[in-house]
Amino acid sequence: MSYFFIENIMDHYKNPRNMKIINEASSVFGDSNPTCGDTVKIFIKVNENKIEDIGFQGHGCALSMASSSLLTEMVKGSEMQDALKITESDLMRELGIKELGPNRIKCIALSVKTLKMAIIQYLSKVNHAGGGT
Amino acid sequence: MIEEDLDSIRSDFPIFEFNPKLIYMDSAATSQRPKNVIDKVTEVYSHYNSNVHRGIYSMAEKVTEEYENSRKEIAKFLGANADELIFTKNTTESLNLVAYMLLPKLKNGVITITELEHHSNILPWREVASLANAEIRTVAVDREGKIDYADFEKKVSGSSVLSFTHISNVAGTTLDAKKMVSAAKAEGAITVVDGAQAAPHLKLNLHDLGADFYALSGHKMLGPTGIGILYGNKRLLEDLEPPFRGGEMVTEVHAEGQEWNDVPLKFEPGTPNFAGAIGFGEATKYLEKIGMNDIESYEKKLGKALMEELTKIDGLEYIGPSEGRAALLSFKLKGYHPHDIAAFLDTRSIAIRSGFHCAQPLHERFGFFDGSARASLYFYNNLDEIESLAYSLKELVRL
Ligand SMILES: Cc1ncc(COP(=O)(O)O)c(C=O)c1O
Repeated sequence: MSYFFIENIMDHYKNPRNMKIINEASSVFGDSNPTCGDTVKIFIKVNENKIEDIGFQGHGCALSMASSSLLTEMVKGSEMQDALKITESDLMRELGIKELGPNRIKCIALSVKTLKMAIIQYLSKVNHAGGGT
Repeated sequence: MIEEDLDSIRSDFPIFEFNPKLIYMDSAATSQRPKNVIDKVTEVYSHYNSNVHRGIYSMAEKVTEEYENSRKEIAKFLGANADELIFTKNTTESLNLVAYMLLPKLKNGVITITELEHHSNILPWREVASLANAEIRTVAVDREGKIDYADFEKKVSGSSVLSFTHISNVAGTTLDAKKMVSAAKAEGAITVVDGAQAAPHLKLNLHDLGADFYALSGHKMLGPTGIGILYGNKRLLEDLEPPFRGGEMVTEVHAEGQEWNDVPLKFEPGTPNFAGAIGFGEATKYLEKIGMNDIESYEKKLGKALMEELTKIDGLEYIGPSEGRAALLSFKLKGYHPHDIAAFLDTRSIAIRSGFHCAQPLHERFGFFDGSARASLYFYNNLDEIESLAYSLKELVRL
């Protein structure tokens, strides 16, 4: 079935969750898919290794926006280490998609990759600072 | 007349039999192929498969003869001579090849292109420009995606090379190639035309057009994949050095020194895609049978209908001229990403392209930062299919 008729996807696309800027974010990372112009920026607020709050901004196709929205729901409140383990297949399962062509996997991969980078950026910042004290 | 014969024409294309619901509107990316072309490729591999221009046994003679006959067939179709046609892989390779052929002539020179170009007519020139310390100038287009001729005259003046697309794969504009070529020649520039989108749709006469080089792809005009043409003016081809070297392109190689083969073989090093080349000859025969003039006039009708039907849809914006366009339309719909449009149409068995169609600067020029959805038609499409497309797009807007 085409993703167009999966209610979960259309719901997330039309009513995205956590679509917000977090001013006091611990880490912010933005990335884009040059082949289609999709952009995503993810904000995370970390407290004791947990993603206490998360927000995203971006624009793109229904798949990329719905998967970003769902991803923020999935990781909110979880440990960073667990969030790092989430893959494109996990997101597809949650969205209710069985198959996706190689060109469209990229639409889902964008938010997964961006979240990972936001976390890694945070961790390296903390490690650097930690090393000095 | 194509319109009356459309059922019989469509039955020549196995894909429509295999997939009766298919509404194929991505012919600018690659066309479908008729049975005679597919059969011809099978015939080469199953009846006289052997390398060309090498063996002296009868099968090798046969394949060489078929290969060279195909070159003649294509030359006739294009209004050129067979020894002016170099077989390449596709338009991209043709444009890279000509850019490297001209590299020695470009030192501190000026290469002029236009805002309409496909990446394959931008990037090879950027590369040789950086190697030759040449300047690249880009001719502007107006709001309708038509060449701004005042800007053209300014930029072409003092150019060493002018390279431009004959028909834009995004805007659907047809450029006045003859006028541009003669203006550039008056400036002493070498002229290169990207004919990837023109050769499938227009009746060409390359000698009459007068461009020094003309690039095209077989797969966009019913031929097999992996076969293209670079047409070159004979005198220039004889004069220029081959950028790529190896077997078949030489007559004599000694411990020191070598003799280049004659034009065009000088520019065809290594084993060519002979099955593809022979299949391509068959494709031009098929196009001749339908008639390029008929194709041109029927497609005008399709282009007009496409425009009329789609612009009725609320929130639809398009790139290119409002009149006289090729049978293709690149558009966006407010509130829908181009990928979503294509994915939805796919559920209705309508195949269109979404993205930048390898022409990102042009999309940016028109503020289409997410790319566009593009319906591109060929003579095997009909008016009912355009209606289905419009109907499905209206369905999407209501969703
Ligand atoms: C105007 C234009 N130039 C060049 C090309 C490149 O053709 P190919 O991919 O066959 O090399 C295309 C095809 O998309 C085109 O539309």
